[in-house]
Amino acid sequence: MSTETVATELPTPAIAMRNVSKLYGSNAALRDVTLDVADGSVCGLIGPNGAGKSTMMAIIATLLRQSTGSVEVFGEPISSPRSIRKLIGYVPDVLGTYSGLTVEEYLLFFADAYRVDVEKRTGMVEGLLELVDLSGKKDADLNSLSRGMKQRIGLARALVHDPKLLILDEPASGLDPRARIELRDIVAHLNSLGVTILISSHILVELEEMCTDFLVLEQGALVGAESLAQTEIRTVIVTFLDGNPQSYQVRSLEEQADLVASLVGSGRRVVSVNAESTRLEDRFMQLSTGKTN
Amino acid sequence: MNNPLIKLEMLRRFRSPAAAWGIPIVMLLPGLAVLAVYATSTAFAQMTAGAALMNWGGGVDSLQRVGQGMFAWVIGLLGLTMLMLVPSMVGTSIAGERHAQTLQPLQLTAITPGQIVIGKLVSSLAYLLLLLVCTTPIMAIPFLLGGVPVSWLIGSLIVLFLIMLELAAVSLAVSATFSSPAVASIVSVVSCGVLTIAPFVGTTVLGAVMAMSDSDFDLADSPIRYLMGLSPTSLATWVVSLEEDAPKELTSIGARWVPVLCFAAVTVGSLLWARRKVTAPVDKDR
Repeated sequence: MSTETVATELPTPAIAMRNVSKLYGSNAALRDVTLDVADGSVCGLIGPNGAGKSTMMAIIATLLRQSTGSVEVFGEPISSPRSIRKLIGYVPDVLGTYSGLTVEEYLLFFADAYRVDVEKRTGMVEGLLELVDLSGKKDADLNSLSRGMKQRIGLARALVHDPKLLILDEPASGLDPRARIELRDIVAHLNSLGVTILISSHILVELEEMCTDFLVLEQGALVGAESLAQTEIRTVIVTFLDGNPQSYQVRSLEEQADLVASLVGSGRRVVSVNAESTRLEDRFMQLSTGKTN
Repeated sequence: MNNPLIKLEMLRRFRSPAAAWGIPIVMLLPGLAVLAVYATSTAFAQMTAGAALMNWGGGVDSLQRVGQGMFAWVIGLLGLTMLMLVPSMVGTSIAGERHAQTLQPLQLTAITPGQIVIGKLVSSLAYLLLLLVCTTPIMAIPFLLGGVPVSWLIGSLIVLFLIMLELAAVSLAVSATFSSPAVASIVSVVSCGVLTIAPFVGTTVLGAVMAMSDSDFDLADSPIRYLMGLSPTSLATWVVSLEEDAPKELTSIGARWVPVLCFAAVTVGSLLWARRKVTAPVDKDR
């Protein structure tokens, strides 16, 4: 009888960084960062100004060379940037636009620059404008658009070549509330299509609504890398008939129901149950010391 | 090879309201030269020959001399205009992209760094070529006066174009090095000015120094004269050396080919430098 060993391969992460540092002279923008971003996730990158978020994103986007360490995107080292760039869509924090071009011309140029098939370009541009809700602005001058609209055009531009990984550096900065909600919906939609998203923002409430995982950077070092599900620890305060309230921690409503059932089952007389979630903000405050470079 | 950047740059450049301003700028100095030569020639003819010789001093030869003089002024001032216009225009091209934060998205596309540089160069030269064409009416005046062979006209235009190409390449290299468009523009103008004028100044100074130490020294026989080949304007020796009665020092192999070699080295070197500077990833984000 022969035996076969079946090796279980771990899924290739969308981003794998190993001991990555970035030095500017004696200043370290990134310090020995090691992390994985799971394929298909929406990963929030959190940290104070100067924590190294944009540096990290620029390294992954193959725009900036790391001083030490290795980075892989979908298993391919970024040392061969041309093949990596086909997989990545990058939206920088400030979107520069060309003067004297219409929205459609701008997107068609990038479709050409990414060597998208000629027959597909027009339909693809229309689809992207629909996605970012700017179909009516197809013939508008780029420079006449508001910051929020430009941000959405930047997002459409980053999607012209159908990337597997989308890197969004502070995409919500300068957006009005409506545009932020729309951005959140677009991110959710893209993620549902299988696009992995790395997104940085200062607005943790929004990240919480969009992300499945988050990374916390501080002074260039990774101080936290967690799944958002892990942070959803609910503190349950149970008040008994004898007047002594007690706190318990649960991870889900099911656990909370089980807790109440077991307390009642053990003969305790429960008067009230109050639950509070530990939000991303709380977790960030626990992980971060607030130090900046 | 498909380079979408050329199309984009042409579209943007020719749509820009500033594009139209290039035409009066490029016609100003040569136009004034034609007027000035015409006015002085007429005045000179009136003074020296009187009313009987009003027709340009009395003969075809004089008319041709006026035409030749006018042509030399027109070409010279056109070259001077280009010396100012090319670096100030091309010098901002890549620095402007970097400043406007449009370079990074471009670097992430399938467009290669070489194509970025060539795209900028070709679109700039296309516009400059159009400006050259706009000067045709002014060029036609000395040509119609006579004394200017067609070979001079065509040769001068080719040399002018090559000078523009070299200055544009140098300006692109400067533009790719700096992140501020204003600084890049100023450094481009200075660099192009130095490249054009310094070889002549250097040759003159060196020649004078050598003549002081050696009474038999003759700059025309000295290799020092090849230093002038560094200036793109020395390509003009080709136009003059093609004439039958051209001076010997202009028809030698060295006099003809040193400027060509210098032109090729400076142009290709500048373009390679610019290409290197727009290649991502970079060590330091600007």
